Amino acid sequence: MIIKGKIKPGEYFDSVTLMLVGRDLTGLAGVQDAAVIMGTRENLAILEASGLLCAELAAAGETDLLLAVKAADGETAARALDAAERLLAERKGKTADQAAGFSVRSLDGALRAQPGSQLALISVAGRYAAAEAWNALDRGLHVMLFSDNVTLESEIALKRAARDRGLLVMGPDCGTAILNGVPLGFANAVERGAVGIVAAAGTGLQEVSVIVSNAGAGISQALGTGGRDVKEAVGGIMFVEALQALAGDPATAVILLVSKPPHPSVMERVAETCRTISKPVVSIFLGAPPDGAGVFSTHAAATLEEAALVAARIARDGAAAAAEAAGCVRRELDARDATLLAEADPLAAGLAPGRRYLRGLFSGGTFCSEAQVILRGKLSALWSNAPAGDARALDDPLHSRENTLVDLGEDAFTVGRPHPMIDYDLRQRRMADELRDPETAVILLDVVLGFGSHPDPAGELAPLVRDAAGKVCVVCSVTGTDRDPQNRSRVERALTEAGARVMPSNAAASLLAGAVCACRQR
Amino acid sequence: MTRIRLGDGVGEGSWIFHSRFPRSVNFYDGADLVSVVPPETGAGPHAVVMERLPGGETPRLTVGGGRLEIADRRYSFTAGDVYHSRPVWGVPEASRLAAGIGSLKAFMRRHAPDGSLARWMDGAPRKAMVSAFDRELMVRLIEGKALLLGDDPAAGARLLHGAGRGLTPAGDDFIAGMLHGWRLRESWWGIPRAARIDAVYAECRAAGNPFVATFLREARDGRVFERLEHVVRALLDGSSGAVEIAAARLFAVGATSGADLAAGLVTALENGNKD
Repeated sequence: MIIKGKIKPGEYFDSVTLMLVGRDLTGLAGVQDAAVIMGTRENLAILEASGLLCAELAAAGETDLLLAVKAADGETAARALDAAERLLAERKGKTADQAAGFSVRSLDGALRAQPGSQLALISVAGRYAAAEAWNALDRGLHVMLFSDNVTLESEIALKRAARDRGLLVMGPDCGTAILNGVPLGFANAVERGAVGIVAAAGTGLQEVSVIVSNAGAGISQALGTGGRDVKEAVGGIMFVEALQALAGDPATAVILLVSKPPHPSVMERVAETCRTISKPVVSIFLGAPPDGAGVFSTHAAATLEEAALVAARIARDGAAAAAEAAGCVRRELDARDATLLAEADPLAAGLAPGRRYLRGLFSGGTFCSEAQVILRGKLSALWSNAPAGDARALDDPLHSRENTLVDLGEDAFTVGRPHPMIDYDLRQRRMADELRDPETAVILLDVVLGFGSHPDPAGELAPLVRDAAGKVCVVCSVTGTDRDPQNRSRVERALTEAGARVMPSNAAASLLAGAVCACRQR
Repeated sequence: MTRIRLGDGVGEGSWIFHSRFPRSVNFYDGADLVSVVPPETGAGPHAVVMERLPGGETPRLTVGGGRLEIADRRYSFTAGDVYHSRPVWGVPEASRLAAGIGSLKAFMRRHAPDGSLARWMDGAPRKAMVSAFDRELMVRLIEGKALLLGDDPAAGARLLHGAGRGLTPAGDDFIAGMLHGWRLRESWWGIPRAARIDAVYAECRAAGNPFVATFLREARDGRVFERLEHVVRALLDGSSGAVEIAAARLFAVGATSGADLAAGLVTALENGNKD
């Protein structure tokens, strides 16, 4: 073994970066050990005690960065040091790029730099976001308001003003949109096509857009409104405006509406608008009685998957075949679901005695709601930190009881932390907790791919899935496409190889997971 | 008009550009490091909170006469825009504080990041550590903690100061947490800790980068930053929900810094009655 080191004078990096680079180096072939640390007196002593100190590092000072590698030979060590410098430079490049991004310091500056812009995407602390949105509206721009914590009063005022000016305000708390083929926020790389989406549910929008795309159709526009838009106070202002925009969009042949159940007064406004639209409208109002939306939409679906497949089929076969499309999709899904239910018994039989409960750990709030709707009446004693339907509210979201479905994107988990679609740490810990519980039978997961999401979700989850094998059944869905940066097929393959049952949709995953637990609870 | 907030430790003066990170632009005058940070980072004794980080060339930061100047832009501020880093805490109610500390410890057990002291001191197996550096670091941290609590706190400080990765090594974060905890014990119950604080700080003052130096000096002086203030207030309140929300925000400071500081804070608050 040979030890080589390098001093980078006056270089600063945060400890996350140093830890990750050190870990990457240790994983290189031929490298036995590595450390990337600041050159404090104590760290030098620790390097010496751990056998990583070499002559090159002896002169290091407190503000120097040290690279130390123990490798099989000098060539490998030198290559590892080069790799470390390259990894650090990439990190620094990102920082410099971020800094360069700040060179545009105002909306006017941005408009000067990019004349002809039509939309401002606003992601600043909530208390400043409304002011920026007003600035954007005043300059004739549509607004995507990624920020949350905008007051209800501001939201209403902004949306009324936007409507009067013929502009859209998507949000606040609008995380996903696809405009003219450009994904914004957490969105996926989907095919362009004839299905236009209006959604008051971010991960709901992602799920339907990828299912449409994977089914061979595509998306014209996908407009988010923010979840609060369909509440009574806001009155569905933007939901209706977006619906009308798609009605007038020549590229949109089918309109797909996605939301949790709107307030009845909002539902009525949506219905009134739909009656004036000649294009087919497919709706999914999660948990609402289907007959309500069925009055005004061409088809009121029960799941996100069903809604997306019906919309895709209408886009493919034309509006004239709309009535048939729903029946065909329903029959295909019924057949698929029957197969899934048949799989439940053998899966349940393989579990140890005492294992009987479902633990759903979701990064997408819409998925958590959809699972509750699907499992309504199928499992008793259903608990959630974001209850929908018949589920009861968990007193302590950190601890599961009986059948529990947790939305890990809720504020209690995300204050001061990245969203669980970006950072899997929270879910990994919770999954480990659930695996230790002798009553856990099934762990249900959503894996959301796309821009902004974690670059390697399979790498984060596969070790835990492998740990779970033989103890509990892990069921998951993967929301994404093969064009996403993570590549859907690759992620599905990795999770399947680790031992997970990977389903084509959250609806299918929820159904299978619920059926296995129902078998265990008979 | 763009509103800014600045910490009460900033004072009047001029600082020259030191470094730029994604979430801070830092200025240094040879003694104190002043960081310009976005609102989500929160206020601190030597922080200037601005809606947007200044871009481009930022050679100097100047404060005086109710105005702050940076990158050729001037901002006015009033007394109401100053963050007070030495809050009046009041006297804690013992059972609430005990419940709060219990909740913080439980949160640490569940959510402390891998590689943080909170995890290692909880008996994490050594074999889980990939690197010999990490294994050796853990040994020193555990030994240093025992010395800090014992009769030779200076020896503990010598072992811990500068130990760990990053700008504020884990050992320094832990020491800062201990210093804050001891200051709180003084403030709450009048338990004299000055000699112990001085002994520990004396070992830390000679070396370290400006980030560590400023951070430790703030801790010595009992100056808290906003996220830490919220944790202390949650401990006093005793509600587990409040503690968890505040702790989650504290743990989001750096990779392990927030959790390591919390580990030091809990250690100081829990141990020391014998003194």
